[in-house]
Formats: sequence, structure tokens, C-alpha cells
Amino acid sequence: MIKCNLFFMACALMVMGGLIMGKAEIVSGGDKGLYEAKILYDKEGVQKYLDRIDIRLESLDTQVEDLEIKIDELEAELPPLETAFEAALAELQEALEEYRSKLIDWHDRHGKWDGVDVPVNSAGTFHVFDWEGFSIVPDSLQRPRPDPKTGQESERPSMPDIPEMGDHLQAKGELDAKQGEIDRVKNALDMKKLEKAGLEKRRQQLNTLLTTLDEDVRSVWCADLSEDLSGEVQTMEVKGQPDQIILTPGYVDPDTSEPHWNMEAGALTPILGMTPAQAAFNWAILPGWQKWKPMYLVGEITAIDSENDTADITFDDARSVAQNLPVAYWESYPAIPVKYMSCNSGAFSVGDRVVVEFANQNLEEPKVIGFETNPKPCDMIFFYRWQLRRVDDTVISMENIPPGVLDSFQTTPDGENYYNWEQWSNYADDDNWHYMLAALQTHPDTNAPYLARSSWIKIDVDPDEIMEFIRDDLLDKGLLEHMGGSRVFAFNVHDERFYVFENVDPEIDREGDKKKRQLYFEATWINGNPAPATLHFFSLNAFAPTQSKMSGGIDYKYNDRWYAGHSYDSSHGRPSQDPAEMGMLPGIWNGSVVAGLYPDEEYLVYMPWQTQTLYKYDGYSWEFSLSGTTAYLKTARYHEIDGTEWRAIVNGQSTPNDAYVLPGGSKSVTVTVDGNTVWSGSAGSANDLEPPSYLEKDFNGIGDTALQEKTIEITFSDPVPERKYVFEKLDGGSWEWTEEILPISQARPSPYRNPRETDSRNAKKGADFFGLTRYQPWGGLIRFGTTWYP
Amino acid sequence: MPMLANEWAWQDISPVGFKPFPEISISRNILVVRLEAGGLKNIEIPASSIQLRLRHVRASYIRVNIPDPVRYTDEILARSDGVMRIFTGYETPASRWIEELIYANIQNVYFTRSDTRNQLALAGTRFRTYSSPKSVSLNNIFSLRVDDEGKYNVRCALDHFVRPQDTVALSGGESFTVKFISVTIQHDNAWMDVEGE
Repeated sequence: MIKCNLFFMACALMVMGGLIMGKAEIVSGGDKGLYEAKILYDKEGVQKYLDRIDIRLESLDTQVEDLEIKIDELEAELPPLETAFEAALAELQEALEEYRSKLIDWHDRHGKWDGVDVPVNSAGTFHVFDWEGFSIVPDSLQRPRPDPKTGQESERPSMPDIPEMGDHLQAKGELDAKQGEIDRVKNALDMKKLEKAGLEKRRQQLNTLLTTLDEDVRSVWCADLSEDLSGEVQTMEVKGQPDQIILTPGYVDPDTSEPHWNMEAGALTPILGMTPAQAAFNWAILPGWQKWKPMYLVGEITAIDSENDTADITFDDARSVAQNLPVAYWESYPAIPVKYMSCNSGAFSVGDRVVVEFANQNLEEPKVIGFETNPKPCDMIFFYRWQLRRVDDTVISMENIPPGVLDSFQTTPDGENYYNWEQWSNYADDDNWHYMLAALQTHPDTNAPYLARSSWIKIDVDPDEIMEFIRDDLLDKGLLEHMGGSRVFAFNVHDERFYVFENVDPEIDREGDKKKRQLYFEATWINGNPAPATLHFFSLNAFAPTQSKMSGGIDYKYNDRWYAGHSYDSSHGRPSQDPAEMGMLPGIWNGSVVAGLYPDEEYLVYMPWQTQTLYKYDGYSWEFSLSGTTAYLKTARYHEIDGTEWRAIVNGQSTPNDAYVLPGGSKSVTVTVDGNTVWSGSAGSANDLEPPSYLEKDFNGIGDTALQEKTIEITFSDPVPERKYVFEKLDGGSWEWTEEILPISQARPSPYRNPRETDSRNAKKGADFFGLTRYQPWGGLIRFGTTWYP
Repeated sequence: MPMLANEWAWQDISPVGFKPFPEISISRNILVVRLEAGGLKNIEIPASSIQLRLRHVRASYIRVNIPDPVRYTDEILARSDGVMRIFTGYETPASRWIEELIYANIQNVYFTRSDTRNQLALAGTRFRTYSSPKSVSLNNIFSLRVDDEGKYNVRCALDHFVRPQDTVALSGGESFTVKFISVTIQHDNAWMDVEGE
């Protein structure tokens, strides 16, 4: 990592104007948008600086060399000057000595003259002697004595005109001049040396910097959920400072195949790589540039308008690294356009922290372009398709739906934790299949992907018209691969708990067509809840094939044991003995399973194929009419099935006119319609559910409009349990059913306690009735899909 | 004692300012810049200004300006890969007591040439942890400022004993922890800015 003492500014970005982002090189990572990336600094600029220093150093080397040569030359000129000077000095001293001896002689002749002896005057003037020992008392004050020999006063020898003095002065001047010249050159040389030393230090520092710049590998988030970035990527420097760097969104627009953000990138220049003038300039203007010419800021979403793809943002109190000045011009900004992957505002929630780009560095052109951290997915997945059919199996085309109906395809208002399936009616193909899309999003609390949108469709049709809602799970048609096969899903449930279903088991086909609708999921508890908590499995009919009409059940594995999650029917009356079931609520008849589970444990959830279930709604409080299993449905992969269990399966067919009862096991089943036995018989072998052993019996007329009023009764005979189910179509159009539990003729051990886990396939016990719910008059809101809207 | 006629007093002829008897001088605070390099004699070098930016853990910065550096070219260049140490203390005419304030490797040599003067700046950074903070009070406060984030900025006379992490007690019961000290010494003028919160 960069040492903390290096302070960087984005000066290169600033100076170059339009280049408003830096660069980085992906080193590793990418999972969930988090990368290890090496920040690519403007090493070229540093290198240019180094080159300039090298040029200057080269010049200085030459100059130093020249100056040293010059000094040598000048110093070579010194000896003759020194010689001349010394000679002149000697001559001068000789001349002075001659004059001095004359003076001495004069003094000798005139007696010693001593200023101290001479009372010069009363003013106390005293004598001062020059360096030669001569008095400098003015001549007017001197009173030489007469010559003791002649008695005459003789003239004191005056200072002769000494030509040597001039010579000496000249020689000294020349010598001094030369010496001064040498000193000046030496001075210049010293300055060059000092400058050179400074530059060499700088060069050393820049070279170290270049090495250090290569070491700046950081964990950086990508602004969108691009998990496969590689090579050189562009970076966004929040506030234009390098302390917070986010990778630019990597989403590729499928229409243009161009990266969504395709701008030319600059590079960060480290402050140590600048000249002092550059650094000082940037330091001075940085806060102003940050405030008035912003590039990227982070903030929090306070409101979202998903229709217009805009968001209200409250910005952070951003501070500049220079002088700690506030640099966020806007405290908040309303209705900022959101541009994000393929779904724009669809991926965002209130409270998300996002990156806001200011286009053209214009304060008035903000745009939300991604997440500060933990980018959320935006995948739109074809989930299933559906169509409406009449009972005669003719497809109701959308064109035949009265005007306004299309418009009435509407979603319910968003709840706090609920979104709506996006319903694109215009995705209908030529065969009037309509495609349902699901948005895969990330839950704001758990950060786990979940299907953020559930489906509500309001269809206004004639209540008397019998229609069938057919859905076709596209997962069986290769879209599993489209979804990634083992993609993690979580389904939101009404109590805000989230469960991940992952690793969709490819065993989907392992048992042939009849059972290919069985899917296996790993259920992982995400939110810890007090144990035992209630896990609501809603019908996962999003995964189910269309043509089946009612669901099976959900079993789960706990502590390596399989337990039956109760399916669909609270009235089956089977007491639960298993601890894992103690927290189980009585059946919630919505195609879901309520089971008490323990948090922090993994459950393998076995889910037989589910069917589309239609419910009639009165407003938002719905009630089912008829569907489901009349007994528990026991998955059996790991349970040996007791032979005394009964089972019977009534299987639905793809068209309403064909409904089959498929009693399994060697049990007798009687089916009556309006009291007339329409079928009875044994339901195949006891331990095999393979197709050959299925007994398939046509329920004559079931599904026919005329038979809607009929009462269907299915009785399971001995050995156990003996139950009778009576279905009755009431006047109001809803079905009612009754169950009569006949005396149990034989005690049966609890299947849940059977420790022998051997066979599998024959464990599917129970009786599912299909096809009986398909002919409900439609009206109000029809619920289907994956979530339970409270 | 009779005075001779032309007796004079020493004061009459002594150079101005030269006292016949040494007076007792008060001690004066000093800062000493010493350059060191392995194998070479330590030299104390005259500085026209010294700037210190002292921080806890983060980089402390030292900058020393040397006037007329060509007088010491060889000495400085010989020690340009060495260490500069800043001592603080006091001296009297008779003695000197100094304590090291901070040192740094000489990392930068800036030579500035102009018409009027040449100047050399030696600079370096150092990372130092101040692990034994103490409570101090600041004297001769010139100005005190508290910004909107509660950061204190106090300009006061140079106090040789304040260090980062120290707790500064202000009158009125306020106090703050020193995060940053900027010391400026120019000729005979010295002050420091103490920042903290």
C-alpha cells in the first residue's frame, strides 16, 4: 500500500479538464463487484519530470566541469602574479627600508626624538605611531633638534617618491583581482553543486515514488454489479480525491455493445511528482474546483421515483483534503436521473448510498450511476410464460380481452418489502404466450439476492367465463442455464424473513416425466430468528411446469433426517410427533408449507412439483376454493414407506377435460361423481411409482363445464386411512369440500419415525386432486406466483 | 585616594557597549541545527528559519533554511545523505543545555538563487509516535480559534515542551488534544500553531 505520508491530489484530472476519471488495473476479485485493483497513477508525468531533472543535471555536470577547469586555469595564473606581488613587495620594503634608515640616520644625528619627551602642548595631544614606528604628529608640531655635530638644523628627510609603491599596489591589485575572480567562480561552482545535490535528491525521491506507485493495490468496489472486469478499468475519485476510489460501472449496453461509460480516462498525479509550483497551485484551487466543478460525490437516496427513474439524494458533508473546506455544493438534490445497468432505478432502494456523477462537471447535471459499495444486481430473468385458455382449450388472445383489460394489468402498490413482478404484456408472442420477468435484486439488509418482485395481475373478465390460466415454466426449457443453474435465490416472505434456495438440483429429470417437476433446493437460513421459527414456503410454482394444476408438498431434512413439511391441508388431522414440527402452524392453505425450523441449521428442502394455483379473491382477502392434497404428501427419498400407508394420486392433465386419478400402492380407491362411481380400483403396486405402475383413470367429465356442479367423491379404502373427500360446487361458484375420516382399520406407524431410510420413490403418499380448481370463475384479483401478499 | 591630574577612567575610553565587568545574563532559549553523517564531525549550522510540522504517527516535517549556504558547501554536501537534528534548550554565557526535539533524514535539498541572496533549504520527514502524552498549558497566546467542527487552532509563543498527543488545558475549563503543531522560527521571532480537537 501507499505509504500514508504520500498525499495525492487529482491534479492531472483537473488540469486536463475533460478527463474526469482515473485508471486502475484489475488484479483479482470481482465477486459481488469487489475487486483488488492497482491504481494506475500518472507515472508518465513523473517520468517526464525525471527527464527534465536529468537534463538539468547533465547541464549542471557540464557547468561544474567547466567551472572547475576555469578555476584550474585561473589558479594557474596565480603563481606569476604572486611572484610579481612578492617581488614588488620586496622592492617596496627595500625602498621603505632605505627611507627608514635615512630617517634613523637623521634621528641619530638630531638626537632621539620621542614624542613622549616632547611636551607638545597643554591640550594633552599625545603621539600616535604608525606601523613603521614613525610619529604621525604633524610636522608643524615637531621640533627637531639641531645636529649635535654641526649644530645646524637639517631638514628631516621627507618621504621620497617611491616608485616601488606603485608597482606593489599594482601587483597586489592584480593578484587580488585574480583571487577575486577565482572566488567568484568558486562561488558559482558551489551554487551549481548545491543545486545539483538538490536535484539528485529529488531524482532519488521520484524514483522511489515510481516504485511506490506500483504498490498501491486496494480493494475497490465497482459501482455496478459487474463481476467479470479485467485489465485496465476506469475509476471514479469521489470528490476528485484519491482517498475514495470506485470503479466505473462496467455494464455493457446490449444495444450498442459499448461500455455504458465510455469516457477517456486520465490518471492521478501524486503530489510528490509535481513541481512545487504545481503542487501549490493545486492545493490552492483544489477546494474550489471540487465544489464548483464536481465530478463524483456520494450520497444517500431519500426517495425513488421508479416510473421516471429518478431519485432524491442527500449528499454527504464532503470535505476537501485541502483546508478541510466543505465541497459539496448541494446538500440534497431532488429527482436526479438514475442510470444503472439495465434497470436504472429498479436496483435501488431508499437508504442506499450511491455515486452521483456530475456530467460535464456541471452542478446542474447530476446523475446516479451506481452504488458506493455492494452494488446490487439488475438481472431481469424470463421466469415463466403464461396464457389464458378457455375450457375448450382455446387460447384467449390478448386482443380478445376487452379494451382496458390490458391497461388493467397492473401491479399492486409497493409494500414496504414487496415489489411487483414486472408484467410485460407486450412480450406476448404469436401464440399468445406472455412472458413474465422477475427482477433479481439484493435485499438491503442481508445483501442476499432475492426475487424482488412478486406478481399480481388483475384481470377483469367476465365472471361467467371459465378460463384457465396456463403457465409454462421456462426453466425446463433451458432457461435454467440462462439463470446460471446454481444461482442463488431467495424469496421474500410476508414476515420479512429470507431464505436462500440455491443449487437447483439437476435431478429434475431423474425420475422421468412424471416426476420431472420435482426440484430440490438447499434452504439456508439467512436471518436468524428465535428457534423454532416458522418458515413459510410458499408455492414455488414459478419453477413448476404449467400443465400441472396442484401442488405436492415440501419435505425437509434436518439432522440428516427427513421430515415431512406439511403440505397444504391443515385438516388432514395427522398429529405431529416430531420436534421439528412442533412449531408448525396448521396448514395455511395457499400452496405453502408452514414448518417450524431451527435457525442456523441447513435444511434440504424437497419440493415436489408444484402447480399453478388459482384463488379467488374478494378484495385482498382471499380464500382458496379447492385444491391441494387431501393427505400429506411424503417425499420418500430416504424413507421406507410402510406398507400400510395408503396413497392415491390424482393427477391433473394439461387440459381440463382430462383429469386422471392415479392411485398409488395396492390400495383401492373409489371415485364418484354425483354419487356415481366413475372409477374404482387398485392403485398400482405398493412400492413403485414408476409410470408403468401408475393407474391412470380418467375422471370422466371433470373439467367439463357441465360438471361443475357435480360432487366428486373419492374414497380410499382399506387398509388405512379411510377417508372420503367430497367436493361440491356451490351456487356461488366456489368449491367446498368435506373430508370424512373413516375408522382407521389398522394402526400405522408414524412414517416420520421410521428410521429406515431406504427406498425413495414410493414414498409419495397422499392424494392430490388436480384439475378441480381450474374452473373457477375469475373475478377480482387472481393471485398466483411466489409470494404471499398479506 | 587622590586623583592624578591626567588620571582617566576606563569607561571614558572603552568601546561602546563593552562593560568593565560582566553582568549576569539571563539564559536565552536556543534552537540548534546539527548536521550529522557517519564518520564525519557533527556541525552546527546557522539557520535563518526553521519550520517544524509535528504530528503523531503521521509524517512530521522539518525544514531548515540556511542563508548564504556557499560558505558551507562542502560541509553540507558531505552530510547531505545524513541526518539533521533539531535541538532545543537554553544557554547562558557560561553553559548550554539542549535537548533533541526531533530529527529527520535529509530527504530534500532545495537550493534557491536570487539576485539578493542564496538560500538552501534542507527538508525531511519523520514518523514518530508520541506515546507518553502529558498535560500542558500554553502561554502567550496570540490567537485562539475554534472552527465549526470543534477543531482548536491556537497561535502562541514557542513552547519547547509541547508535543502531539499532549492535552492542552485552556482557561475556562476547555481542553483539547494536540494533533498537529506547526512551529515557525525566523531569526529572533518564533511562534507555533497548535491544532487539535
